Amino acid sequence: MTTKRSPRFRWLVSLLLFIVLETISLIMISESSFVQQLKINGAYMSVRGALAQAGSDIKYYFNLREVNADLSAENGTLLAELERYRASDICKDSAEVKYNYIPASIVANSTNNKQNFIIIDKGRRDGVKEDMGVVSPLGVAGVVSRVSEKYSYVISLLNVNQSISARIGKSGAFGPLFWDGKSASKAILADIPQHINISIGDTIYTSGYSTIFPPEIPIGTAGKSKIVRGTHKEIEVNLFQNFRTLKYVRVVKNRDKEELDNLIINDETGSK
Amino acid sequence: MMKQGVNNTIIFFSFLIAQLLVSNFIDFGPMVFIVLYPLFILTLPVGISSLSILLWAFAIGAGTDLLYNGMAGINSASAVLMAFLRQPVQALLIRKGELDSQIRPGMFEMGFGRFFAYSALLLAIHHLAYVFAESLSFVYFSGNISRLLISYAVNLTLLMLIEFGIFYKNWR
Repeated sequence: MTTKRSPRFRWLVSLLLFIVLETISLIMISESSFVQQLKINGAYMSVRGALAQAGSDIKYYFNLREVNADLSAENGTLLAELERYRASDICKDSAEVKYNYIPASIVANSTNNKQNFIIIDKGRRDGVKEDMGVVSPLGVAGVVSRVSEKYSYVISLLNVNQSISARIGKSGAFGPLFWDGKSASKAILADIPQHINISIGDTIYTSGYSTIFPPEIPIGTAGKSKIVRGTHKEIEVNLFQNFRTLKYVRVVKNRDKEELDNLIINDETGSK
Repeated sequence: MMKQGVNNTIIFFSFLIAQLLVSNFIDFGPMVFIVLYPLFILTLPVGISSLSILLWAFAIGAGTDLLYNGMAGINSASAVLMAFLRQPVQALLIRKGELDSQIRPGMFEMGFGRFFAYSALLLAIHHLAYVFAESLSFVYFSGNISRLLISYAVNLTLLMLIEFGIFYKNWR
C-alpha cells in the first residue's frame, strides 16, 4: 500500500503467486501418499479428531440397525465356517492359520468423492503394515496405504484408482474388480473372456491370487454385463457391503506375504 | 483496514467449518460433491489486493483438503484458479469505480442478475478445474460430465440461496 507500483508489475506478481500456489496444489495431488502420512500423524489427528470422532459417532448411532444386521450376518457365516472346520480335520494346528485378522473401527470414511479414503484406528503398534487388505463384514473395504503409530490410511474400494482381483463363483473366471465412480453400491468386474456365461445373481468372490486378500470372500452379485471392444466382458457387480454404514472392519495379515513377495522379486531379478 | 481483516478471518472460519460439516455429514453419493467456500472467494471485498485474494483462496482450499479425508490438493487447485480469474470476470460485469473499494460484491450490491452471472461464471471455472484435478487428465471427461453438471446445478442453487438468506440485507 505504501509504495505505488505499476499495475503491470502487480499483475506479474499475482501471476507468479498464482503459479506457485497451483504448483503446491498439484504437488499435493501427485504426492498424495505423503499428504496421507501427514494426515494420520499425531498432531493432525488430534486437530481433526474431535470433529471426525463426533461425526462418525453420530452417523454410527443412526445406522446402528444396519451395522448390527451386517455384524450378525457375518457372525452367521463365521459360525457356519467354524462348524465346517470342526467337522473336518484339516485345521488341527491352530498355529498354522495363514490369515490373521486385526479388528479395527473406522474413524473417517466417505463415499461422495472419486477418490474415497478410510481412516481406521489401528496403526503400526497394532501390527498394521502398508499394503495389507482390509475386509468389511460383507465384503472388501480397501487396502492400507499409509500407517502411523495409531492410525492407518486406507484406500477405499470406492476409489477409482483401486482395483482388486475377483472371480465369478460358478465358472471361476477372474479379472480386476474396480469402481467406476458412478454409484456407491456398484463396482465393475472387467476382463472376463467372452465365452464365459454369467447369469444375473451369480456371486462374485475375491480370487486370492494376490497376497492382499484371502480367497472366497463374497463381494457382491453379478448384474448386467456388456462386451467391451469386442473382446472382453464387463460385469456390473452389486456390492453386498453398504459403505455408508460401515463401522467395523478387519485388517488382513497374511503370514506368507513377505515370502511370496520375495519369491516374485527374486524370480524377476534372477531371470534377466 | 484492521476491522476488515478481522471480519474476513471470522467469515473464513465460518465457511471452513460449514464446508467441513457439509462434506462430513451430507452424502448424496458419488455423483454430487457439495462446495460452499466459493461464496467466500466470490464475496471478498472489491478493493482487496489480488495477492491476498489468492492467499485467502488457497487457505480455504487447503484447509478443506487437509481437514477432510478426500484427495488432497483438489480443492486448493480449483479455489486458486477461481480466485485468479475473479478480477477479470469482475471487470466484465462491473464498471470501474462503480463499487466502493471496501464493499463486498454481493447480491444486494450488484443486483440479482449480475451477481448470478458473476457466480455462475466463476463457479463453472471452479467445477471444471475440480473435475480435471480429480482425474488429472481429460480422458475421463465423458464419464465425469454428469457429475460435473449435477454438482454445478446443486452448488449454484445453494450458493444463491445462502447469499440471499444470510448475506442479502444483513451484511453491509
